[in-house]
Amino acid sequence: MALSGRGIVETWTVNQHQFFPGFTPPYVIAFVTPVEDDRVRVLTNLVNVEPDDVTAGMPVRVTFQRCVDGEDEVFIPLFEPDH
Amino acid sequence: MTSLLTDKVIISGIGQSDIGRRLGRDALELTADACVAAVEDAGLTLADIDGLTTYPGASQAGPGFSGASLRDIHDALGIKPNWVAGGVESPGQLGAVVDAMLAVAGGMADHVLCWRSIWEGTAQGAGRRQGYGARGGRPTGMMAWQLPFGATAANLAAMQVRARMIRYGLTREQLASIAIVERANARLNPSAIYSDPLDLESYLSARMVSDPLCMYDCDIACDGATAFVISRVEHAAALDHPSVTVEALDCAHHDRFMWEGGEDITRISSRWSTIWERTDYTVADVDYASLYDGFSVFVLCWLEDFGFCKVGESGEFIADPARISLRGDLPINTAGGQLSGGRLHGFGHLHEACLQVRGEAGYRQVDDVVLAAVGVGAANSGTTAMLLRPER
Repeated sequence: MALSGRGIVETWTVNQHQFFPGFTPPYVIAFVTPVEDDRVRVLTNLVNVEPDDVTAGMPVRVTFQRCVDGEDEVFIPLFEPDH
Repeated sequence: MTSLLTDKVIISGIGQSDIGRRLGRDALELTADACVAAVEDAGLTLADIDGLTTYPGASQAGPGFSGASLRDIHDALGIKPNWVAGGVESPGQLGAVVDAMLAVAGGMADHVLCWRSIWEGTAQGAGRRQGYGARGGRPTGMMAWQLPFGATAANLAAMQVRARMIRYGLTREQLASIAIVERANARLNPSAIYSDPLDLESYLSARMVSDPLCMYDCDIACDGATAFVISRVEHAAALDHPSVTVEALDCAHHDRFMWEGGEDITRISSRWSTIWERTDYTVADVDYASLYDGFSVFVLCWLEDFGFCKVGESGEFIADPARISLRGDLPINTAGGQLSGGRLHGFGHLHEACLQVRGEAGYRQVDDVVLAAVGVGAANSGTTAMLLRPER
């Protein structure tokens, strides 16, 4: 199934603890449900949004973050508000 | 109506090693302590043991996750078993105990020694828990979809709390009852990790780990081992203490093995427990409950899964902590649970239920326990529920 990259926030948390190098708190972790199929759940980070402004059911859209580790290149799907 | 196992097997022996935040003692030594204690408690010698089961066995998980494998104990204690089973792919941690019960009921062994040993306190203290990139290369399997987002188990539990707030109106004040009651219980358990008093004010002002989950909602890594002996029911007469009868068992692993893999993330499993179809007792008969608490919110899921309250009403059910306190209607996790007692990973829950059924819980004994409920497993790791009672 082709995905539009749009979804809604099912639930989220504002992480406050430094678990990993390179992940400086606070940051938002969320489950996003693609608009095309509500049986699917995507674990992701919400970006370009203040933690206090996140709400249940908030429309979001995908934005890819390019990560390079040596010769390995990946594009990580993050989500931002879909105004 | 009774379980197929009820008339065939008993929990004949229980044993526990020293438990501590960072004992700095060898994990195999701790495991052997627990195993030998359980065998002696069952009135047996190591030569009587003809079966071994354990969780998680020789695991590749994080440092200290498995204190001693099946082969370690096989060698260290010189056991010559006919039946062995050890592994992490199981309906929750207590799947290893179910394996032991099935082996005895099926005639494969007479006395199976079963243990869970954990050494995360010392192992993680030696260096921070390994995170993203620490081993190099791309994370694989379940971690491939957590580590790139900086997500750990605590974050996923926090999202379960938030989902319950959104859907059912759960509040932090309600959730606090779990940590507060368990801390009060821990003060009666000399083996517990934390015994400083904890009240609502301290809970509400505590450091957030992952909002809305605070530090008191998270269990604590420790060193310690717990062991059981499962025997044929005929052995009950040879014991110098009450035996523990297995009234009913219920296992499930319907959901994908991922933290986010549950069909409904507010639940412990997408399949409601069938345990009350396997016994003539009802939920109203339960005098004591050991409910898994790797994070506080899992207790809410188990309360609903057992049917102690209606779906979505567990927050209101525990709003007054007196109900689940030692002298309340439904005492839970009287040893302090994993939040205050340490992460013995479900085996501590079964150990405490056995003490309560045997009437040996000392200052934290619940009066006249007729039926004890044990629910272990969380977040789609698979679940095992048990109903235990004294021999009639």
